[in-house]
Amino acid sequence: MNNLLSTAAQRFYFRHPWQLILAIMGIALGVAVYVGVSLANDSARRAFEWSSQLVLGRTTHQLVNAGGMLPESIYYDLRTRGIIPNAAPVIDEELRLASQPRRRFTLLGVDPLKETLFRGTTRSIPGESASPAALMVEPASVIVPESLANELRLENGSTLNVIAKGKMARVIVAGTLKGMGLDPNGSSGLILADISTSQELLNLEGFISRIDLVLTPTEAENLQLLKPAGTTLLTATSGNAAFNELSRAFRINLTALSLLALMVGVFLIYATMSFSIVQRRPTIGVLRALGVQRRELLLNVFREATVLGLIATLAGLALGHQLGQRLVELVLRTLGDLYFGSYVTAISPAIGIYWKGALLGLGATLLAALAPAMTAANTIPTVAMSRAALERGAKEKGLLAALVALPAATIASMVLLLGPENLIVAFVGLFFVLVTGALLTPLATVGLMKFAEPFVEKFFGISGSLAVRGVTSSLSRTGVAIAALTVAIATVIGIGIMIASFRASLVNWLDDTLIADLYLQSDVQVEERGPFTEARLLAIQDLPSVEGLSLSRLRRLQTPDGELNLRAMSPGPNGWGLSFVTGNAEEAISMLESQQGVLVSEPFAFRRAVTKGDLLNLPTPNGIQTFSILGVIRDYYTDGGSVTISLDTYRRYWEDSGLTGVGIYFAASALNRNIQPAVESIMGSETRFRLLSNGTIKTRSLTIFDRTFQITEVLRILASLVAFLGILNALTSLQLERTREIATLRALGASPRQVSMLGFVQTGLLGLAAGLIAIPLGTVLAALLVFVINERSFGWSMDFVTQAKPMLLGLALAVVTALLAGLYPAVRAGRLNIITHLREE
Amino acid sequence: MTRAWITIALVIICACTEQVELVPNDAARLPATRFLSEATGNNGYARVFYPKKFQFPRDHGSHPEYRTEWWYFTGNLEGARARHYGFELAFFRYALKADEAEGTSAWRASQAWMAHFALTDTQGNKFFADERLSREAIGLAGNQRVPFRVWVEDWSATSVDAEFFPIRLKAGNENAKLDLTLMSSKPPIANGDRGMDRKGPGTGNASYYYSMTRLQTAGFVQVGSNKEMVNGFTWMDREWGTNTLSDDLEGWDWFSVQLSDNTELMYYRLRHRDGSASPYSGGSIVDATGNHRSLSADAVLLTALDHWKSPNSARTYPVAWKLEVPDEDLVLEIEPYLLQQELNLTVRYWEGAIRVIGERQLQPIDGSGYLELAGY
Repeated sequence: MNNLLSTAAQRFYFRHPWQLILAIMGIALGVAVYVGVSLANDSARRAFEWSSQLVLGRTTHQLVNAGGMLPESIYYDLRTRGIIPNAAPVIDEELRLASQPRRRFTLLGVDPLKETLFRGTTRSIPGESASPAALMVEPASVIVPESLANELRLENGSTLNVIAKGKMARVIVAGTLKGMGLDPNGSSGLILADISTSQELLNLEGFISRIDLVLTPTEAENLQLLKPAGTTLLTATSGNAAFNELSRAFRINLTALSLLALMVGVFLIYATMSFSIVQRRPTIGVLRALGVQRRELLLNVFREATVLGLIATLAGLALGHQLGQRLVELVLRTLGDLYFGSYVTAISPAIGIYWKGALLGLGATLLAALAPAMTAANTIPTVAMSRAALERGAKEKGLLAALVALPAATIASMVLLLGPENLIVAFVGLFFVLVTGALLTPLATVGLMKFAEPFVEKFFGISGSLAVRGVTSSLSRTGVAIAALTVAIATVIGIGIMIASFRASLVNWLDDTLIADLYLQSDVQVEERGPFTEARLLAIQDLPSVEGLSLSRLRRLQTPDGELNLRAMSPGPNGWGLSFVTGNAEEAISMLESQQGVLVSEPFAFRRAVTKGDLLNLPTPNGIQTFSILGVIRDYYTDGGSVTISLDTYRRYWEDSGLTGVGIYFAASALNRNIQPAVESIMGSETRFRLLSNGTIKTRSLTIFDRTFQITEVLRILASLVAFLGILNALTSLQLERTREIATLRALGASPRQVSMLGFVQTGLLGLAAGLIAIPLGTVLAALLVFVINERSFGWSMDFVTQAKPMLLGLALAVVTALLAGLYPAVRAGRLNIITHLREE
Repeated sequence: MTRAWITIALVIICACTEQVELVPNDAARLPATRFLSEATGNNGYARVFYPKKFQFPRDHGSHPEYRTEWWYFTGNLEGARARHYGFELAFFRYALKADEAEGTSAWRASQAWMAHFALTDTQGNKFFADERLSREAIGLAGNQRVPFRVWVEDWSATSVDAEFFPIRLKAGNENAKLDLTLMSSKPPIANGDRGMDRKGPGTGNASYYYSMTRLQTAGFVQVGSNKEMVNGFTWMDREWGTNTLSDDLEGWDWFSVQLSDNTELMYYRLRHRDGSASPYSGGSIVDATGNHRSLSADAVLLTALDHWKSPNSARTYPVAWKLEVPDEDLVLEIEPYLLQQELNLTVRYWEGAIRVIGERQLQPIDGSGYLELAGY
């Protein structure tokens, strides 16, 4: 009997090779998407951990200077007074390649003799040639990432031209660091040097960035009391709190995407497998009628599903591995772009993800196959053979699904409205919204078809009418596929609207804030005037077509709650260029000018849970100063949180006359072209600055923005692809199965064209239904992403921009997907040999 | 004696940062020995070719033209109610470069320093060990000639005034501390051939080596919060040179003994891989008036009496010995005050206070000293 059963299965696939290919492709793609996204996510997570491990090591605390660099004499005092047993001096600054100035590296200056206890960095240095002793005595010697050495063909002793603090310098490669940096174009990279070399490269003689410490709680308490004036003791993690918070948000977003991939994957596998069984209901009925036992039947389906699942899962794992590699690059590049100054490296992926992928592929295949097989095996053979019974059941199921959607929707709104303001909760809510949408899809399809029938009939005649009815009556086969397509398209629409909203908000914000025509930016961070001397500023101001200048000083401040960016500004002729979220702009600015407080950025307000009217403590060289918060402003540049203050206030409290940026405002009639060279000639031989036009900054900002969302874009495409396969699978099978029906129609006088049209219209209607249902669902999704997920992830608010474009694109995608999927079956239906197929049964 | 190994360990620290064993010939574990001879080499450093007449106080100070150098203090002390303490405080200098390192940063240095501190509290059955590592930069470590001072971060040996003696030792951490003042009671002795101590075949494979064998010591030791007044005797070793170490050596055993008849003895045995003693082993013996003579490798008979296996490193050290000097009719039995005197630092070795009893010309004699066991 077993023989007969497996022969039946084999014959089925032999007669329907497409079915077999589609089933395998469907399962494989489902597994691949899940594995690929998970791999990218996992690599990103571990790359973060590895990077921070490399920078922090066992460091528990860091001693920093509230005012910027730390005089090295403080390290001397701590060590020679025996206050702390475990301390290491660190210089942590940016370095660029002279040949590719846009590539940033972090120059980490350390004392190799102290590194045993801290980072153990030397363990990452392969070979014996990279002697830390040589690093200490040989001027300009550095250890570069292995990937950089390979890329630039650097060997020990090779020289490399770099830009350190805007100054050109030549360094000598003394060794390489293992496993650093995957993306050759990204900003990832750590260049290691001795503390002396770092000081010399950066002109930082006498200063260090911080002192890393390994402290017991008691020692930390003691040091808190004994620490030198002007220094702040941070716990090693709090210095990176903002960074951790952000990377966590980013990872949760990625996890959500991988869960979405999982959901789509399961949908696809279910659609594929259950359909292949549903199609064989008559065979199962016949076999049951012949006396095949239920157990044997199930066992056979189980065997079949295992073989199919195994082959497809293996293919899916291989595909997912490839996908993962590509995605990792994208993810890491995004991270490198987003988190300035941090470096992220690729890590070989965890084996567990492949196992999970395998389990998902096999498990979902088995469940998807067994559920319909059990239904078929449990029903009376004659009923099983009848399709009408199945469709009646399917309609009832559609209703049932719609009923289940009610509690799902309730859960979604409860979680979102009443749940704690937490990112994971938000994603749970989002998930239930999607589930609700999927559950409502079959019923909504039926409704839409009823509504559409008269119109379709008008256009396409009887084949139109037949097509509409066909959609409704084939829901058993198409229901899950339509739901999957709907969810996928809704995701595409939702993310599309979200990105469009974000981009529009960014453009608005750039227009509001980039109000000068030219910007001079300095690379110098230390407390000195840098390239912007008084004489040069006066000369620029005196240029005939310059109307005025705005001045700014941007610096990082270490506070016990983490690092923040302090932006001190002196406005130009067109005002401050601030975009207020909370607070009265005029009032706040007049108070800012009269030195009565500060403005905070939106992410800052979100993360520190502060708002207008609250007080903020900031470390100054003369101790902690309290400022009142005058308002909250939009700021998409510094996601770590920024505080804006007037330049006068800043200079009064921080006693620092340094400038990092100058905005140049043109007189209305000015000819831009002449000003740029004039400014350059005023700056003369000075190299430590960049001159950028308003337009360049906008373009660059938007380029980075677009690159950031590239990963999202890729996932959208993947989701569409999975949905396409699902619908292709369902429709192809459906059309192939209906050959007898079509043959009958042909025999009744329908032309081949009419029959093809019927198939086309039907699949087009399915796509249209999915697309139409996806529009409201996608809009809800976008609203959730904009108002809940993004705010909770990054603290950025944005304007919700409902654009027709993403919706129409989604709709078009759904229809085109469905039509493409229906193309082959429809053409085939037209070419059908009527006699054979009428005779067949 | 041959603590060159320890300074080599300093090189090792510079080369690989994991804890190293004092097994100098294990090429896999000690790439640094190669680094020492190949990567930077001994080129440009002064070497020891001839005996030398030491000039004090000048030679108490640093000789940076040589690759390695150390100031090594070990002593046995007695507190109230005859409570016994032993201590070790050693400062090692290691040249990273033969000439001055060039650069505008104050951190640019051509010398690295390491200090080891150990305190043995015999009654308390406690042993403390710690280390300090630093480059000679921004005042973190170094040597000053007048008034004499050698220091690594917060640990130091400092002359109280312009004279070399009295000298004050300060070192320790939150668990154990010492603050001792040392007075000279015998003149320095020049070990080996008039101060030149050969370490192996080949010219220049030698170091300058002198010892102050009996320094009257008084001061304080502190274990936890318990600070105690102590006095006793300290032994000081000074050695510098630029040595290449022969490959067949596995380690060494170093003995310093201060006896109750106001005499002292020092002997080191260089061990070959096969366990035999190198002919370059040797020592010195000092009489009550301060006169000394050198002991050749075959002048001393050593027999290990007992072993101890360290629970930390699972290494077995020969901690009890019979030491015979037939010429002197001297037989000594040596045992440690405490078994656990293994220094588990970046460099791992056993160095501890020892109790000595025996006979000289059939007269009973006793004393204390220090034993160093390396390469086990």
